[in-house]
Amino acid sequence: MQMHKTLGDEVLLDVRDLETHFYGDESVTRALGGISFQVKRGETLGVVGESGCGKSVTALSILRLLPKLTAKTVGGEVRFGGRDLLKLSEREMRGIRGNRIAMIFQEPMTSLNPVYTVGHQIAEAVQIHTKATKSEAMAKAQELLRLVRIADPERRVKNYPHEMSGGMRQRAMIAMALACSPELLIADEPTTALDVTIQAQILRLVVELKERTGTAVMFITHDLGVVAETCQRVIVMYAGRIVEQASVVDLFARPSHPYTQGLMRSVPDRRRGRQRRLPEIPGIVPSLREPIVGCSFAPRCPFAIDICREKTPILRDVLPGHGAACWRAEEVMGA
Amino acid sequence: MSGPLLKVENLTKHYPLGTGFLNKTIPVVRAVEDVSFSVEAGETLCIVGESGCGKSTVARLLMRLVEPTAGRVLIDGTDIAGLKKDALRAWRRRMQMVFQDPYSSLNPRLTAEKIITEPVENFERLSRKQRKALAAELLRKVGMSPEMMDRLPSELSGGQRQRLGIARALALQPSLIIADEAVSALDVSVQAQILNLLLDLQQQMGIAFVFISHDLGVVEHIGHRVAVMYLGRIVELAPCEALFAKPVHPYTEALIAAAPIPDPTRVRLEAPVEGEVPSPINPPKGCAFHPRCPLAVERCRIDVPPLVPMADGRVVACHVRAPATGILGQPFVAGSARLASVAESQRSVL
Repeated sequence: MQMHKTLGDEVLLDVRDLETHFYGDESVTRALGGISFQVKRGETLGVVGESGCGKSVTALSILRLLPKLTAKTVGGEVRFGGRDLLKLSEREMRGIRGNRIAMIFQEPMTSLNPVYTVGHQIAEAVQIHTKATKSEAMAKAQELLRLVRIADPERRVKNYPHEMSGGMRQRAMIAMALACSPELLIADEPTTALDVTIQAQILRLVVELKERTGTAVMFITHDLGVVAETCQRVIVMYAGRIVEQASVVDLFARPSHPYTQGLMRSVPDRRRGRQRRLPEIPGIVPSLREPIVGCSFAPRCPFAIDICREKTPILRDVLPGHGAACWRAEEVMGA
Repeated sequence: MSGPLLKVENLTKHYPLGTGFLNKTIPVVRAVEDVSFSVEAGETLCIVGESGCGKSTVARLLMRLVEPTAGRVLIDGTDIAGLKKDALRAWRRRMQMVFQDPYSSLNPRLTAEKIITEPVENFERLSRKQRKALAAELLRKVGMSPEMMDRLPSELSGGQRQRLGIARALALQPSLIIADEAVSALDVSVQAQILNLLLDLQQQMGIAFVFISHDLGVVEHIGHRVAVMYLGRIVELAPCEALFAKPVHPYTEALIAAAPIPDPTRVRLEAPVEGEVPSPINPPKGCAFHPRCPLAVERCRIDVPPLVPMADGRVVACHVRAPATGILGQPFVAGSARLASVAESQRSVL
């Protein structure tokens, strides 16, 4: 209940100038080029963008789950609960992961252990983070499966992952993530591998659980429809940077970055008529192996002028609470 | 004469699970069950449905990559099941396929030029010069620069690879292309480019498409008619606009309602359809959708509903919404008579 008092005000996660590089044989990929954003307590923040834009790398950088040999967060801060997660010891970090920040992934089959029952795995998560006994943890596992609306939880706790359908496994993953009442849940494309009717069920579940538990959610997706249905605020990423951030209503009503506009227009929409050519974003995403001069979207942008090719635009407010990283955002917004 | 380009009659595919011993009955996966439809020249027929509904098996049956358990596939009136080696090869020129995954469907060791001209070289010898000219022409057709012909698939983006897959399908100038989830693996901005390409090609060359997809937004955008499949059967087949404006089968309705809409001001009122798709090994008796259907009555648990033509040219398999003695006022006999009347009423609408 007390969640509601502070909802939307208190900053839970504060990411500043986060910069992550991947190292190949002879090249460096600048996967994240210094991004800053906040997640407020109890809100759902959508992170959208296409393959390679850095949305998953953002999540992995926050939780420090990047592959150690090939990737490194080289700059910035991740402030959570008054501390910088990037400065914690590995031991302290384990106390955060799964406990105060939980994560669910796209493919539930690969994130569940095939040789243990689902109940065992959820109970294990409960036991690691609380002082519960084994039977208490098992009872809690059952209760969590009921919470995520799995029918017949008494029987289902004894199931192995392969005995469940994709939708049910994703529910089980959500149950496991919620085991320790985390303050922040990072969901990376949690419904992308599911059929639409199952996706609709899972999205509804996420929204309901968020309202019930007050957990803040960072929802990573490529699907603008999913964002519109689940999120309050959105950041749009392109080529390792945030190009726009706004409340979900504002973003859809007044997209102010040419990339956001292009993305929205390229989705088929009955309101614009069938069988017509869709507006395209010409060209392809730039390589992040070479340094980019100016705005990374400029080569594909219908609004690009000289300054766009010379200086990198920073994210600035074009309206209160609505930021865009574009030299011509005001004109773009009206277009 | 000009009948439909492609006609599918009572197509059925069962996959046996294991081999039988003596008289033990073998359980089967009922992947496709009594599916009938037709495709006219230059038309796009979409097949939608969720995982396991049989839509990809239909694609494979149409290409004769798997043999049907029962039923017929007729192209220009010829049953492809009867075709022997040479005739089958000749017929394959008329139908080509585009696959979902632009990574695994292209040979990584061949150059773009080789990939897209290979289908033609299966039929005739090309000189080096002819091959280059053909490759350049095909690349231009799919919106790529002829300079790309020396590239390997690994040197191309996902969108460019899918363009190559389409160029390869175009090489033999087919009348029909079967696209199985051809844009599903692509990012939305790339997906828009490929959809535009398909629309352009249809307009310029009059190619017919069987477009298989799980994405209703895409289907609504490019389809002329849509067949909705559930657990191996077509439950509704309708002109595209009519289907989306007013779905009749409760499953079609649920599917359309479940698709997220990119409009945050829209309030979702309806609760999503409950439950999950049952197993095709042991499908529910009667209508396969009845365990999830809010409208189900006693009869749905007993009889499989037949596809019944409605006044607006669609066919629907639902005891409640499309009772068999419904709108047209007469009972229907199974088989060709029913199919003819369905085709008739569809033509009148299109």
